[in-house]
Amino acid sequence: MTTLSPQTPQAQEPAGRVAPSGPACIALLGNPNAGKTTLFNALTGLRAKTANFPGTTVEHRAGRVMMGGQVVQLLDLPGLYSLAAATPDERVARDALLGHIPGMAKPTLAVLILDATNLERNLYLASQVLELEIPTIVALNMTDLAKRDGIRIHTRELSGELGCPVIPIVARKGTGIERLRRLIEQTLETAVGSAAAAPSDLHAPIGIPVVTATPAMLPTPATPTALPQILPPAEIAADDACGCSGCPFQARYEWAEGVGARCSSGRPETHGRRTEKIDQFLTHPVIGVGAFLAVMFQVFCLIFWIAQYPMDWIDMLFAGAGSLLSSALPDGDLRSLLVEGVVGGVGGMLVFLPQICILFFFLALLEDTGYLARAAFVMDRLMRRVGLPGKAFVPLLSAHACAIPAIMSTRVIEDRRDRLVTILVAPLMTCAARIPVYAMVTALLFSHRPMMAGLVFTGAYSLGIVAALVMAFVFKHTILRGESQPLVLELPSYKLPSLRNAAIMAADRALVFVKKAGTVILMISIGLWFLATFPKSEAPASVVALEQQALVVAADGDVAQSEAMLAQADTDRAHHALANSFAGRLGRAIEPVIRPLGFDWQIGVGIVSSFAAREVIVSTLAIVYGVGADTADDNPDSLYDTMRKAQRSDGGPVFTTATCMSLLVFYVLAMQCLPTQAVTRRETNSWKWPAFQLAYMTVLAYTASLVTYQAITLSGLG
Amino acid sequence: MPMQCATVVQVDAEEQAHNQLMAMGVCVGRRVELIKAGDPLILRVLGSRIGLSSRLAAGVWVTTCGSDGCETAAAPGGPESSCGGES
Repeated sequence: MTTLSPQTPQAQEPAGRVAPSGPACIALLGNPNAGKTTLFNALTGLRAKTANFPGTTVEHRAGRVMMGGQVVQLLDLPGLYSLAAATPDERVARDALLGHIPGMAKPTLAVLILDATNLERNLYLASQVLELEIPTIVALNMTDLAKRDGIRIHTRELSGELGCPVIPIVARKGTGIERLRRLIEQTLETAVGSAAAAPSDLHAPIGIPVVTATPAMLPTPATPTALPQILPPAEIAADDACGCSGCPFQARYEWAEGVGARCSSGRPETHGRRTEKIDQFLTHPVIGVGAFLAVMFQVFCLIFWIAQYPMDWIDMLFAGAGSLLSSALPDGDLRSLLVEGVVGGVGGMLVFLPQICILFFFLALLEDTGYLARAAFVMDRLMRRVGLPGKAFVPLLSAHACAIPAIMSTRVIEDRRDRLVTILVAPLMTCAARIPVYAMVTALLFSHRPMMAGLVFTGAYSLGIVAALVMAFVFKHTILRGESQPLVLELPSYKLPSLRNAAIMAADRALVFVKKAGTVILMISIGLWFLATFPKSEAPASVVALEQQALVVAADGDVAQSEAMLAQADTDRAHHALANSFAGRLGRAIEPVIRPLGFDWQIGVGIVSSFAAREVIVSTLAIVYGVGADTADDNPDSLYDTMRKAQRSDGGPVFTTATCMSLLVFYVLAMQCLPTQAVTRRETNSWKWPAFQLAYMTVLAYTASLVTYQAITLSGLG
Repeated sequence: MPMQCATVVQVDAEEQAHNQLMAMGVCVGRRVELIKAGDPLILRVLGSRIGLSSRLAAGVWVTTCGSDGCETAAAPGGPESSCGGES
């Protein structure tokens, strides 16, 4: 850490501090739970965008705001306890502050948020930030809570100790934000107007080693109390490299404690007692786990219950748009592309938005209250048995609604390997889109035996959970070997959540999904449309004959009979077209491979066409078995009846118990969800992991189906 | 042993965990208070609560202090012990 060197000529280096072109950049940073996001939202409103730092999966939010007549870029850095560059977040934040990230300007100004109820710990980060030679303003947040707990912070003294302005704020209520904004504006004007003047006003070297070496550099006599006699600078430099005890860590804390003691008064011992009382229950190994399961169960019920309405609206909207286009455009490939490829693809993607929004809204609320940290705390010991940290539990549970928001929510897991394993196994959990497939299989097998149907459902859910935990264990002991990062987790004080923050979070995640995953999903949807549409084939003679017959019947005046015949002709035509398309040929081509699973070529077509979305298999089977997709929607029993009657070439039924169970197992374990793959790509920043995910899940599904089919057949049950 | 107070004298952990502990205040010379024993356990450090797996806590060596606070340097409770250990 060369910045610790007292020789660094900080005041002589005005160049580079002011970005000559482009908007000035203000970096916002602070400890997790210090209220950074609330302050960022208060300053930018809804004008912020989320993006990854170039070449990393570390996210930042940035928003352009008008300040003092100029456009300013406000950058929200990840929440940090230190700038030691030990974690990717810390490294990126440090690089961003130093202007080392390509394509990103060095910040003109840093706004450091300190939690007034926890000043000393927060001052540790302050000691590192103030060394970086960036003009800094301290926003002292949660001053209302500090006051309630009898902590008094003397901001003028604190400002003197830190050598930078300190503004007390309550970000949640908006108190002090205007003052902070005005100070930022003034500082920017000074920085732009006279670059040389800014540093000495705003940034004075503080206590840490700098003080030790050259007391003459100190701006005021207030600071030397810090740590002059602990270590000579040379030893500090040496010690810092190895990062062991008796070291700058300790020195910084002693400085922080000293500053804290001089700048605050009151009885901090009473602070957090209420939180501790609540924690006696919520972190209890038994009560805590029970409470957590109850909370998550409520959230899921809400997701399923609330999300179905907007999902139905989206379905209806796109079905409406499809039929509007159909009636407006002449029949042909363009219409087919727009209606089935584009509108269908966009609809199939947007239908996930309600679940994404609702899950992140509730997760943000739970996180804001401080509860999510307790959930990770109580689940840690249980999750560790499969080698995952407690924080992996919420994503894995969320995957039961939908794997997409679940994978997006793995960002809370710090360790890269732990996070990757969670992403890889999350799609094994039974998501909402598998329910139509389960329903189809149970209806085929046990149409009038609800007990058995319930058992099949429970078995399918359990199979997904067991498979995910086993695979997590396997990955943690093979390709992503390594003990899970041991738990070190702050348990923040409980507080009221902010609905506004939660709403912004939900909107933000939805936007990220549409922008980053949406394009990939749309492109592959069009690809699958192509496979199912081309090459075109002539309608068979029977269909043509049926249509001509319908005309004759219509001429005789029997309109109802004629329409029924035309509908039958359409169904037959669709069946024939699909059977002869690339998708149909692929289905036939893979038949030898899927034959041992008990599947025929028609099921093969279903598997191929439901590659993008597993629930599509129901409507595809409706087409290949000649029921018609619309009929299957309105009256699923007609599909099930036809399927039960479907025969093999040898005359036996296709859907035996063995084939049905094999199909069920396949759909529990197979990937069959393109949006999930697109999200895995975005979250891992590489195509390697989605490819691996697809490969391992396909192998797993194939093997398990094979075992299921062969076992049932050989045992004579099928 | 709830509400037990101690001073950290040594932290043995792998680099990443070590840095994390340091940054959160579990650092040589700091006062820590055991709020909740078990695995994981909860420590109070510098006014905040830190949840810690017992595996990590076993590497945090402390001298216990009297009930009147940590100002007494000598540990009346006996020799140095680690946070997570039974000793």
